[in-house]
Amino acid sequence: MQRIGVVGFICGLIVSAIFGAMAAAYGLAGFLEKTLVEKLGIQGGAGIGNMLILMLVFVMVIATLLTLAERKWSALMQDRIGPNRARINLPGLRDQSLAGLPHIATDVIKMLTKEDFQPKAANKFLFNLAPMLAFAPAFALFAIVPAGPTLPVLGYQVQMSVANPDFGLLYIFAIASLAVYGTSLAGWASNNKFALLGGVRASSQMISYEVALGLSLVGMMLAFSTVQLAGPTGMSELQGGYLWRFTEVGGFDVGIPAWGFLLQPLGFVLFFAASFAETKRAPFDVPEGESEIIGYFVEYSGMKFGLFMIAEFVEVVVLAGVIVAIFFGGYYLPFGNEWLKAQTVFVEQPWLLGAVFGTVFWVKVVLLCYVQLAIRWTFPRFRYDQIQTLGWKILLPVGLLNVFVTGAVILWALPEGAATLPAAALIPFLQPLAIVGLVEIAVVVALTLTPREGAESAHADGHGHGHTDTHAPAPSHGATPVASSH
Amino acid sequence: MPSFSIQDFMPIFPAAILAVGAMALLLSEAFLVSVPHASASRGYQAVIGVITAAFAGTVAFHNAFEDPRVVLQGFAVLDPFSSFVTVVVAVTVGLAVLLSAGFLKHRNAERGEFYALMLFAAAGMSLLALSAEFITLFVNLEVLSVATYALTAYLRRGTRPAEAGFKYFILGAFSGALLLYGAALLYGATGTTKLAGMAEVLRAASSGDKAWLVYCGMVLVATGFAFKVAAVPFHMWTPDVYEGAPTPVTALMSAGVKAAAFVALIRVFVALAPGLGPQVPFVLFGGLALLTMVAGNLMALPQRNVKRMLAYSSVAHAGYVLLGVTALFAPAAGTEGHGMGVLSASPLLGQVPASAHADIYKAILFYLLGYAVTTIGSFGVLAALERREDETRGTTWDLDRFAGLAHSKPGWAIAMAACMLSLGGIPPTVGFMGKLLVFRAAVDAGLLGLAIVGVLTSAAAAYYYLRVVVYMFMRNAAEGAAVPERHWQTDVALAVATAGVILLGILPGPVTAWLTQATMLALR
Amino acid sequence: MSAEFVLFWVFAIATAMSALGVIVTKNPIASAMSLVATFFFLAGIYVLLWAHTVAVLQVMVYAGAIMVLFLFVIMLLSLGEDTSMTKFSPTRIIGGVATAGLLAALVLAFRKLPEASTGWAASVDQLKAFGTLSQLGDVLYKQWLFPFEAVSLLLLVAIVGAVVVAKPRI
Repeated sequence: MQRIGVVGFICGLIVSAIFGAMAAAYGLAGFLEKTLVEKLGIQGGAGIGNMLILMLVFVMVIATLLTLAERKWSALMQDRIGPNRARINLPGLRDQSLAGLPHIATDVIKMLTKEDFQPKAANKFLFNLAPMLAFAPAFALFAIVPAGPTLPVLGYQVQMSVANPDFGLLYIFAIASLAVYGTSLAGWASNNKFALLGGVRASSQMISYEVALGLSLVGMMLAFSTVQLAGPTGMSELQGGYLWRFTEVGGFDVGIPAWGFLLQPLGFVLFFAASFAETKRAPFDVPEGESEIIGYFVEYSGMKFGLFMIAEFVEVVVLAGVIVAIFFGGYYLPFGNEWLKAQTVFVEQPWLLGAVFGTVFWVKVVLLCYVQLAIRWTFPRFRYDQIQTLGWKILLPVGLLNVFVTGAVILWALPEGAATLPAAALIPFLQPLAIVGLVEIAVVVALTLTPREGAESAHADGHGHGHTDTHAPAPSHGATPVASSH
Repeated sequence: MPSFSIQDFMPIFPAAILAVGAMALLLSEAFLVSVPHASASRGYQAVIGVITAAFAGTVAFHNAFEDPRVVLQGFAVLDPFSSFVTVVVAVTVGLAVLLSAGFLKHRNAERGEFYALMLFAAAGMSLLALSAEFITLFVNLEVLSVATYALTAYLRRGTRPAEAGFKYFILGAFSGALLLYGAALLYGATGTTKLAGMAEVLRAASSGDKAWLVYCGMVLVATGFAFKVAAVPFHMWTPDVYEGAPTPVTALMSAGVKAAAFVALIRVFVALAPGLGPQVPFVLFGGLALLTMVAGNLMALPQRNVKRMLAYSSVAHAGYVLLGVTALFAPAAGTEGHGMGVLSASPLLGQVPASAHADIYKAILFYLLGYAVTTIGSFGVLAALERREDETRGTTWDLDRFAGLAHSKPGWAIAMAACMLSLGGIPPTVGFMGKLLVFRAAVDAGLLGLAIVGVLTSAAAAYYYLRVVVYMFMRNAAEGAAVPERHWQTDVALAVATAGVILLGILPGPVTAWLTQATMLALR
Repeated sequence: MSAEFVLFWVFAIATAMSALGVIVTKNPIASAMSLVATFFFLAGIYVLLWAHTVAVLQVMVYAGAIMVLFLFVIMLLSLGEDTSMTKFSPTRIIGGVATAGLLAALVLAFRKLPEASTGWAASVDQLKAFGTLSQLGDVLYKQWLFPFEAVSLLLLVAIVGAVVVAKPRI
């Protein structure tokens, strides 16, 4: 009972910290916007403020804490105690493990003070460039994710994302595709065969899944007729609407919200799988393997290795943010948004409303980070050919199918003259899409659960020979383009 | 706000049908992997290919009677020329697919991809013939080129196909770049990529201001096309590629690619010529025609390798078509600014329906049809005679292989003889009628000298064509010569081609009459 | 001195320097990375020209996809430092002359350019709408539909052709 109380207290502490930070974010963004416009006549001060608070504070702090969280969660799931050896040598604290928190500090100190080793035959410039190229794109991805609604602060409209370009999601694809350079260069510049193998594996996996990644979001773009995340017609804002609106009890609105994962369940699964593969975390972690090729960062030490490591956690946070913004209603609650907006305190002080919605956003992000950690420690890793098979033969066709079905349903469901109506007014017309989405998911689940006769031989294909299945094509005229792993 | 109606898409229906057929074949191949005895159950693929080609040809035939017009925002035209070429292409690809069926089965190399690529190539040809804008034209040219590159390197036994595919790819990419560079210069001079727009600008501002830009562009574009139609001196790749490619593919290349490329070439230059006067294309194509007719035939003379001989003969025949093209721009052919019609993608520009021009167009189109049927037949016999055992020996296509064919395979010998006579321009075959029409058109246009060269070279050509006939009918087969396999698909294809060669030679009336009517309609 | 002016020169100089890097570095991987940088800075210039979509596609397609494949090929062929470059060879001389000629032609062409370009956009709004995703979509699907779809056919044929040629012996 006491333990539940402690956990509840800590959760409350975290939520109120997020609330405070979001309130500060709105304040700083409004202040910078006002100052820059009045002093220099330049718009976009809010973006700078957001860069400081959202990216440097929120993303970095959550990513740092995730390093500890990952250890704690893996320990919990494997029935171990977890990190508890690092202590603070002060009276009263010596015997306290402090939930492993000192480990973060020791990690940092270790990485900063370790020898910065460089292989003799490595290409110095590219060797040093690679960690930066791995870290920067992952970090920059967050730039278009809105952490809160656009609200007037200090007399200026302040958006809660670093930028809101008109090409929206294309920015994510563009920057995500740059992340390949970090891994492949690290593998090549180390002048180490294991590193090269790891780099090649990493980059081939990433470019394979980029295709599925792009296709999985087309359905959402079609549904909301936009590629933007932030802004008044962005996906996050539109997800505040309701597909089915039930009742209003005293002005409190209840209904089934137009969240992306309800409209596009298949798209969500595809995007989650593909982006998980992009982060190169288990079960897609063949680029690193302690028992075989070690990884593309085998020659890196000290803070350069640290950059690779923290890039992975930043990716986890950013991925969670993107998924929340696209599929889980962004900064909106599933109910009561309009009631909240109508409260006098929020009408008078819009930044408070922003802070509330911002807190909702970050809580969702943290929950999704937890889901990713749980997946990472639950599933066994894929074999290399299974990864390619999943990407090219399952995710890609299913993604194409999803695009066609979604397009057809939307074409059928939208009323005449839909192009002239505001995007928010079209949301109720998307009801068939949600139904079709559920049917799609049911079909896919049914297909997956049906035991297949050829399943055994399909798995044996990776080994090439030695299977006795008479139905399989003979090797002499086997036209199967199976990616063989050896 | 521009929008498209179903009428806009009519001209691309045949190409769409071909592409859909190709995709169906590709998909079927993907699902075939899980079928037991997959290699034995591929017989349906050629059937699908032929049905698709027949369907596309029917639709194109229907299109040929439509009123000529510009469609798809001025990016394509629906006119008898493109429809006619599409019909020719459909016939060609249908016959080539039939030939491939036996050819590939014999080599245990039948795959859906092969037929799919053939259909894709045909779709590219059809689209190329109706493109009325430079970027579209280039993209469609690449569709057909890329498909033929892959087809050339499809069978990889020994070094020849790989070498041929690589050569074709490199030179094709090079010529494509030249064409694109020329198009860029023309765009710079006129500010538009649409042929109709170019024609309008060039006609309006015929000052010498940008003349050199236009001349350079024209020369580069002509060079790019000359590579594709294998005109001397841009023919170097032809013998090697034709010899290295699987024989049915060679047939498709020499018949279909040539027909489509020639129509595109004519369309481009008819649009470009008027503003600055037709002298540049006249000199260009006159020179190319002369060189191609003479050199192509001379180089074919000493060949004992029949496939190589046919490759050079294909070069020579490009020369005869070029003679017809030259006639279009001949100074004596009529007053300026005539006969533009829908060919230049703008029916408004046409003024006087010069009957001389109609005759020339008719001659060129009929020649292309005749050559397509004939070359399919001749390469078809060649494909039927090939055996997989002597692929590495280099004597596969030697003249001696034809010795005594009249005794062992009289049907094939007759087909080959008809095709050889047709290629040589000897009555009563379609080749004779084609040459007659082209030479008459040339003489009417005042190109007496070139026409005489043409007649002389085709007389010389009769030597090497007839030599094959002599070998077939008057020599005895070598001892122990292996008898090639027969496949019913090959026999059907050869029968159709031979019937075409002879029937069109005896009764060209319906086709020429229709062509006259259609050309007059388009030039109106 | 507006912000655009400063940014333009930053991007322009960076583009030129990284483009130089492509040809002067001896290491093929470094060359490829310089090319990536060139594309990236070029995308910056596109943004300054209000061509946002072209900019992001430049990064996505050229820097993100095509150059990755280049890098792959170089890495897997394990090309080392290039040693075959001799000081003077006929090709080098021809190349030098051609480059000098091209430079002269470009200089001449630039001298002929008008002093200041006339503004073609009627308003800032028009400028902002230019080059956006929706404008590009309008042009692609309402005017250039035919070549656009033809390109998709071309890509399909190229993929099928590549797979056919890459297959083991048939």
